[in-house]
Amino acid sequence: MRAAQAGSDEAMEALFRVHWGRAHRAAFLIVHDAAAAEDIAQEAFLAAIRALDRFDRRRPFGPWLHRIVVNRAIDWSRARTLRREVAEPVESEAPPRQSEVWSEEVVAALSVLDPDQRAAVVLRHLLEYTPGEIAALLEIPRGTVNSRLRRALDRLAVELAPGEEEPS
Amino acid sequence: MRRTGFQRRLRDELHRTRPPRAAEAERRAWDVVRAAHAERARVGPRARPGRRLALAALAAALAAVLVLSPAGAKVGDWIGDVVTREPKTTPAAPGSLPAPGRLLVVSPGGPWIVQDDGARRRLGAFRDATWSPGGKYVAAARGRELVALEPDGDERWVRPAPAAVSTPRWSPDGYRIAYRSEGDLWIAVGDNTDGWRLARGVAAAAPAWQPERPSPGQVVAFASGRRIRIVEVDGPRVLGTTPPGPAPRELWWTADGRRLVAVSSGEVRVFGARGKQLHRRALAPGLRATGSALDRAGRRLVVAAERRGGTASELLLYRLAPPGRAARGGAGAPPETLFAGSGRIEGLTWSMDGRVLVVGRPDSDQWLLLRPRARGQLEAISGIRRFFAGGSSAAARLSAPFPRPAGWCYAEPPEADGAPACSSGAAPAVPPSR
Repeated sequence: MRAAQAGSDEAMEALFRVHWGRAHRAAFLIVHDAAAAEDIAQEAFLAAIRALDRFDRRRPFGPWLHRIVVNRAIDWSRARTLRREVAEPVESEAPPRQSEVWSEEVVAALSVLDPDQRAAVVLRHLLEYTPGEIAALLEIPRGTVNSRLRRALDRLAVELAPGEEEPS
Repeated sequence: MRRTGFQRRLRDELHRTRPPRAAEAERRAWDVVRAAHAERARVGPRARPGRRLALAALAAALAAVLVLSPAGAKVGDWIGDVVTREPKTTPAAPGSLPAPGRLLVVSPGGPWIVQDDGARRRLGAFRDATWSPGGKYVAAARGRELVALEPDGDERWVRPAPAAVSTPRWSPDGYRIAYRSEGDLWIAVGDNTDGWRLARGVAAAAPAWQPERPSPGQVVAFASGRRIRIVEVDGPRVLGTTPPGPAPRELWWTADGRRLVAVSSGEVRVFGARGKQLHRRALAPGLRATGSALDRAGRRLVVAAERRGGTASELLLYRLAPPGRAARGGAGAPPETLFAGSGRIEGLTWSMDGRVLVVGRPDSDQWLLLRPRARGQLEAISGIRRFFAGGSSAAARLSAPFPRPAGWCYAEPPEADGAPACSSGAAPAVPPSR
């Protein structure tokens, strides 16, 4: 971090490579939109660069970046909650491009959660923060985090249960 | 909180998940981040971003001024000496359009607006321009951006898109814009406060908004694979899907919103408001449709068709049933030929009062003005490239892109009319990639 603050390209690249993948993946799992996830993660890095001089080196970079990513992803998802894409599949000659590259089942199950619940799941089970850390990141009570996680996991368990019919 | 077996499985699945095209996204992001970091290192930590932004904005404003053409150049200056007598012509009245209103013209060099009084203005380096329903704005594409412009060329707002934008179309109520980006159909809110992807895998034809109906919500039709889908956008809700057929080049709704017309290379099909096919008429052998235009009343569809190789073209008029008689109307009857001549046809649009059809003929560097109600009265204006491109070099004029008529607007719409005051319709200047 010190070298990146001093202007080192190599240090900045190392910082980017370490953190990009998880930031991008977290954004994607919350917004379910590749373009938006890319924009959100990229914007978070640009915000980091803008604030690089003010950054306290005694604190870890990851949580600070993840906080920006998750909050922006939640905002983006809320804004479009009432305007989901057409659910009807497109013609077979134009297959969806995403189906080959990600775990469709889990991402589809996540999509039934509201953005706050998705964010809680991503922070807990992808980025591996404790409920207390999530509470601090999102500036919400720990009890709220626990209840979001509990409800989200209950719903996911139903969605991912083998042999169960899809909800109508 | 202890992890259960389910939670461990969930964790593993989340870690295995990769966003689509993740490697490309990472490469693009690193390019941007590296540039931003290098800029920060170059300028130094004490740089005042506000001041730099102000300078950048000033530079952008100056650049915009430089690319805009001077307003007020008069059609009257050119129309007198460009009217040709080949083919049989009648000189147009100097200093005015052949019908009231404002004409939107598109070319690979950018869109133009020709005013009622003959003044013309280039809006900038945009593609695929289209009027807003009231004529207050023009929506256009600029690379990966959707841009709303005021008729004087000022940018009202800019909306970034994930890939190149094409075929924007404004909804009849003005609150939505549908456009394509990398094969997906997107909806933007008319004041740019929001936007969302409506569908993936959308074909190249421009989306068509259904004219306003008593039911709430805006409805758009778009081609997807071999079908056309009719979708209420805010739900969204699929209202109907047509039977499979050839990919349409252009889609039109009749003025009453009860019929959807699809023009493909080899045929014209008419559907009900929920996609039921009502009529189908194939073009004559050897003809290939290259464009079309439906008049504001929704009763006269003109299809431009060329002979193989584009050596000759025809304009075919299909008469649709008047509003309220949808079941019996359609393109079932044979069309009548309005015009047949050499060369290609690019761009055609009806005037708002339905009296004049303007047709581009790039090989002759002409616009034809047809008046079907006046026994097919025909005029021609030549030297179109010279007028829009300017310059004195004959070679430069010949190589300049051909400006095509793309939509008309009432200067003042009729009172209590209810229908949009503007039309849009030309196919994109450059065919979209998908």
